Amino acid sequence: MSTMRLLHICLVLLFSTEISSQHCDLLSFQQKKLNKDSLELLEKMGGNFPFQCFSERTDFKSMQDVLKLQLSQKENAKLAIQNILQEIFTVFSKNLTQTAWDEISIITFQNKLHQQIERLEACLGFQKEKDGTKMGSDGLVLTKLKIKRYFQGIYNFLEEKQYSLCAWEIIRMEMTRGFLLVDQLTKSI
Amino acid sequence: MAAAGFPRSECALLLVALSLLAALGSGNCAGQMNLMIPQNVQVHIINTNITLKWDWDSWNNFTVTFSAHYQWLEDCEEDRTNWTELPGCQSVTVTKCDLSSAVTDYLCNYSVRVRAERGEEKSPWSEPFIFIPDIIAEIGPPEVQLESVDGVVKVSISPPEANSKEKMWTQHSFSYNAVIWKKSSNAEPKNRAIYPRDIIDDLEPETAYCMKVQARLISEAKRGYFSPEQCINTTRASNGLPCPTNITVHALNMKFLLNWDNHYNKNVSFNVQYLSGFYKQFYEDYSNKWYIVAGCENISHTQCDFSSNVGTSGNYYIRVNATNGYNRSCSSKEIKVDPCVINEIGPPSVKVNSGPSLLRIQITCPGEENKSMSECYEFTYRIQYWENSSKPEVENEVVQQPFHTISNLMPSRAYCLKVQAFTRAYNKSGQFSNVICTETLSDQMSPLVVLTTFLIAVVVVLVLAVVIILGIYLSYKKIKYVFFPSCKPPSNIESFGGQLFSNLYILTSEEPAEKCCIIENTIQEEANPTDFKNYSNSKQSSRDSGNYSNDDDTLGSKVSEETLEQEIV
Repeated sequence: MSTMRLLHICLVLLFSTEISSQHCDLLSFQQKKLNKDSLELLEKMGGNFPFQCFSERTDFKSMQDVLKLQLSQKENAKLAIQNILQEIFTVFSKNLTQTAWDEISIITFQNKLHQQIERLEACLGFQKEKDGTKMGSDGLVLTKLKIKRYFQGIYNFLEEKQYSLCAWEIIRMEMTRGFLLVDQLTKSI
Repeated sequence: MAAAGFPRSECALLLVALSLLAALGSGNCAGQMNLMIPQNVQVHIINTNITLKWDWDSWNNFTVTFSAHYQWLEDCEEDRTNWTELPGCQSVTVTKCDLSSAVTDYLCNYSVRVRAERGEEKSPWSEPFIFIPDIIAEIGPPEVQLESVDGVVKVSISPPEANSKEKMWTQHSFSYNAVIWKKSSNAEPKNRAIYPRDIIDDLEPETAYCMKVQARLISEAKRGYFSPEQCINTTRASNGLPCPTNITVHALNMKFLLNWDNHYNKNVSFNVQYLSGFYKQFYEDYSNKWYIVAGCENISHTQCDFSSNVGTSGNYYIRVNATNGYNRSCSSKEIKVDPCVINEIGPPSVKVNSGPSLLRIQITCPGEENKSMSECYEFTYRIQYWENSSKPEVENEVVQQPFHTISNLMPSRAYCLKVQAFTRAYNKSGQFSNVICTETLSDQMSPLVVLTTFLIAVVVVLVLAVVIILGIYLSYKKIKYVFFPSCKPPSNIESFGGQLFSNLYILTSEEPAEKCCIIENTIQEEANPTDFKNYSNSKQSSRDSGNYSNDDDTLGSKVSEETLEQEIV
């Protein structure tokens, strides 16, 4: 009887890892694809950095500097990526009317981004329920706060510059760097 | 003691003493203070509403007030790392106060502490409560509006803090969870994920339903407060044109086809629309973002190819409506299309060559002509093969590469195989290719083949060797003949040495041509009777010797005579 129960438990465990893999195994492959596509789309949507914007001043630090993330664990990297993508999605949902960027590229970019955010959420959400843990470790909290703070700077910058063409061009360049960082993080998921 | 000067009854004194003892426990302040320390100091945050709360035993019924201090920890703002009075939390009479105006940076680490005060008397500070607003904040309830239209319920959700200027949460990051139940039944409430603008279309008509909605931040494992319960009666479906039904998507090798039923008696035409999935995240009205699928506008048939409108990533929603003159039907159910997930993988094309006891397989991945297939999937191939006999045992092989050899087969037997492509990432298996049967070559043939090959190789090598040796030999002979002729010049010529050659040109120019002719004639006359075959030789010799004979006619004739004599002998 107890052997049967053990077998049962084993089967359930086996099954649950199967489910988890369905949620999460795709991520790395899909994320790499998203990173590549996003860099292409960011380039495509606005072309070269306009000459008149070279003199524009920025007072936020570059993402690479701010987010010196040390993410050894897979889950942390996933969470960091999810957070960054979510913020980038929000950035590009703001007032873009002054940019005259290629609308199809923006829509495609947002659509890809949103899909990956949902996938990451599905994976993270599932793991939370499986582990029964909440956002735990200090490192994780710190990472999340760093990301939020960085993007707070981005939002403030855009608002200050009243969503001007040059402000957006700077942000577009900045987000390109962001995806390079995400690409580094992708290696550890 | 401070208590001694307090003009109250002995009973009250005892109570204070007791409460001090009970509350402080440790007793390190008990000696100086009779005011209790506020207990269980906590900060509650819902959206950006930040409230400081603490416990105070009111049974001792003293009129006390409370004051709170706060400080920033870390380096959020350096000039405020000292304890500062919390505005709005000074001398308050209740056991809570509002921190919203003081705490403005939600990503900073704060510390707050409270004390009780009565006149000049002050209790010691409570244990500080340390918090980062963003981390401990809870999500408030969303605002929900329900509308009952044509038998469905339209839901509009405004996210928590949609209208407030200060925001705790990243916009557009919420997911929503709705709990729906029939009003007059004991049926279990059902949870379902819902978008800010959604349509609930699986409800019974003319029935009262109730629902409440909570916002979620999945990545932060936060579930918000539920909105207040709201109830609504569903209606009957409209009397106009009904919505198209039975909408299905079939996708094979990234060719996407939408099918639906035509259950209309009238002459209707259909319009197919698509929406990029990310709009679903927005609570703002995005109804003008539904675009018509190219080639599927006002069509009379019930199929639409929308492959050109969906990329390889990003979700899409597809819906159909019917029109009859000016009547427009409601839109069908929306179908979510996640291209790489919904797509089915067709059979790969397979070529098989048989060898002795083995089969060589060449696989071409399915939908090779369609670039988007390779953008979606990294294929692996599963080969199933079996001997074509009455009791076949199916063997499996999984390969990454499109070229594969199955070895260790029986010779001269018929084998059958089929191949399917699958992708581990999407856990998707494609269709199997047609079964291909072929016979392996005989193994017994192989030594003979090897032997034949060997013999042929040996013969070829030998022939080549002979040709090369012959070639070298002939070349050697020629070279030797030209540069080291067997006939030696007469000793008197040899004695000229270098002089001979240095004078060669002048001597030749001075030599009259007639003299040569005379020499040749003499040789011919002498050679003719012996052998005509040697004519060429003799001619050559005479010419060679002609050079030597430039000095002296008689010498040349002498040489030619000598060679002739040798050859004849």
